[in-house]
Amino acid sequence: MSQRNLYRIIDDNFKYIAIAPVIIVLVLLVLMPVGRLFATSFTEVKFVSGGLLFNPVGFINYLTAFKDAIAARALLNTTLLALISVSVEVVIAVVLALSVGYIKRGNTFFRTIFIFPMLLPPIAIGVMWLMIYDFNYGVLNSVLAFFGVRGPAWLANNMLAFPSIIIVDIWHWTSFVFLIVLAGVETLPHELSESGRIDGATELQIIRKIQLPILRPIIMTAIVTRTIFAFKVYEQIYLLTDGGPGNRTEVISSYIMRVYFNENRMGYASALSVLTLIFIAALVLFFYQLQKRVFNERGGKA
Amino acid sequence: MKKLSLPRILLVAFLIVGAIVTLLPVLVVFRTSFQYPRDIISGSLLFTPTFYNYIDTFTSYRFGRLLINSLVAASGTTVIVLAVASLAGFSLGKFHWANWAVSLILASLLLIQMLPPVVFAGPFYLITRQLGIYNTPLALIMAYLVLQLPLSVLILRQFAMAVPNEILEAAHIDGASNQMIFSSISLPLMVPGIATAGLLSFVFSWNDFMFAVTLTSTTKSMTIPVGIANFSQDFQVLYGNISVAAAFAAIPGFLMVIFAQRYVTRGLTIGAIKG
Repeated sequence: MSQRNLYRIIDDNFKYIAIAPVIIVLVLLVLMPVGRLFATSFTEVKFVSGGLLFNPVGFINYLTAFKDAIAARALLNTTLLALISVSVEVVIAVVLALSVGYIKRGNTFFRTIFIFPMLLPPIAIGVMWLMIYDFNYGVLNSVLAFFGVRGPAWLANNMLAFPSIIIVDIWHWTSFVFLIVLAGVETLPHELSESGRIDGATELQIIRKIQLPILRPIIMTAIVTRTIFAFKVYEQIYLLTDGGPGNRTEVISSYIMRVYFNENRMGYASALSVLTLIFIAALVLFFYQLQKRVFNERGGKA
Repeated sequence: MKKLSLPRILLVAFLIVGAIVTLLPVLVVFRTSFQYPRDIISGSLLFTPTFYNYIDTFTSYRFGRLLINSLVAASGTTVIVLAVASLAGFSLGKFHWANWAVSLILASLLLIQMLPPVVFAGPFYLITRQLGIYNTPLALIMAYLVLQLPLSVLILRQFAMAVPNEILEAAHIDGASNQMIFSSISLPLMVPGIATAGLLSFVFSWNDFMFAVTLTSTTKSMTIPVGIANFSQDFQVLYGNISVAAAFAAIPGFLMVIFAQRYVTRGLTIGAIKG
């Protein structure tokens, strides 16, 4: 084949040639591990000299998973964390975004600060809060000591550990919801709010009756994305509580990582991962349908 | 000029409180990094600033090596992501694809993005061991491609779509091949998109901890986040060193929000909404 012919062939099929790399890379790098995960989930992995031995055990790992109280606890904690932190994040982020939209001066300054947390390494965020929550040297207990109060062990206390983790998550991820909602706030049509003002509406009425309804789809998108992302939570838990005390802050990721790499029960951890995979895929599908229905209703009304 | 009403004052007060709450944890770490270990323990507000922790972290713990490892893994990922995603973005954004094909590709990308990385950690550990690339930057790059490609393709598709068709058609009529149209006409016009996807890929790969801790084992390829975790041991936390490491880990995100905020906002909005 001459070089000229090759050139022509690339030209004629460029559409397919250009998309091929991403498909090859993702098919290899996603299907390979997922296939591996499925295969491993039906085995018990033994460490023998010279490597790993995969003993087939059928569905035992899955049966174990459904009777595993810690796994149930991890799923419950992750779901609670997702529900609580996302609700709080949305409220704070919407108020922050509307406020930043209102002010003229200092707009960029506040925007920069409020976006910052989500660009930090999660493990560094863990460090920050470790220095705040630390029982002996933490900022929080130092401040309390200043007022003569003996602060508790925030991360080791049965009652306080989970709320403490939720606060970290809110601090971290409000930034993401803020960023998305702000994108909507910045495209709000001024004419509508202005005509509301001329008709004598108060600022609060303008926000409730005009701006929030326009922002609803974007807020909805932010909630959906954030809720699904909340199931990824790991690093802060690893650094701050490692799932403790007594599994009270255990989440899906921390439990799977522990079972896989610390307890070396790779087969069982794989089964847990497969269940997580199915659960998240179902969640994504559910939200997608929900969103479609909401958008259609809105479209129908307009 | 609007008069200062009560709601307005409340609003600004709310913003200032929000800013303080956001900045405080960052400042705590920054402050600790300049304190002698004895000052950290004393808990007093006054202290003599020092570079002791910085010097100690670099000399006693080979932190420079971790810094280089982080740079290699993050930039390696970014280069590959950009090459692959700009081609894919161009193909999806500028050629006609059947509806089902586009939906299938976009839905797959979104789903991959939504999956918790933990489901990949175990299998990637086994696979990289088998391939003999465990504990090398290549293992990390492989994992980061899965995490960063979907968003980058979505971003670059949007930017490719914004390239005016007239320019491409004119080039086509002049006899330019598709590969020439891509490399000499589209690519230069997609530079803001390439910057957006590149910066986000770099920062998020740099920030990763889960794969760094599972796919590396020694300072040969360990990255900064793993170093941070190692400074927090079972019985004591090396607060001085850990704060220095955290400060360095935060640099890319910090630079990005200061100097490239437009790109961050644009890119992440595309990822969440337009996909």
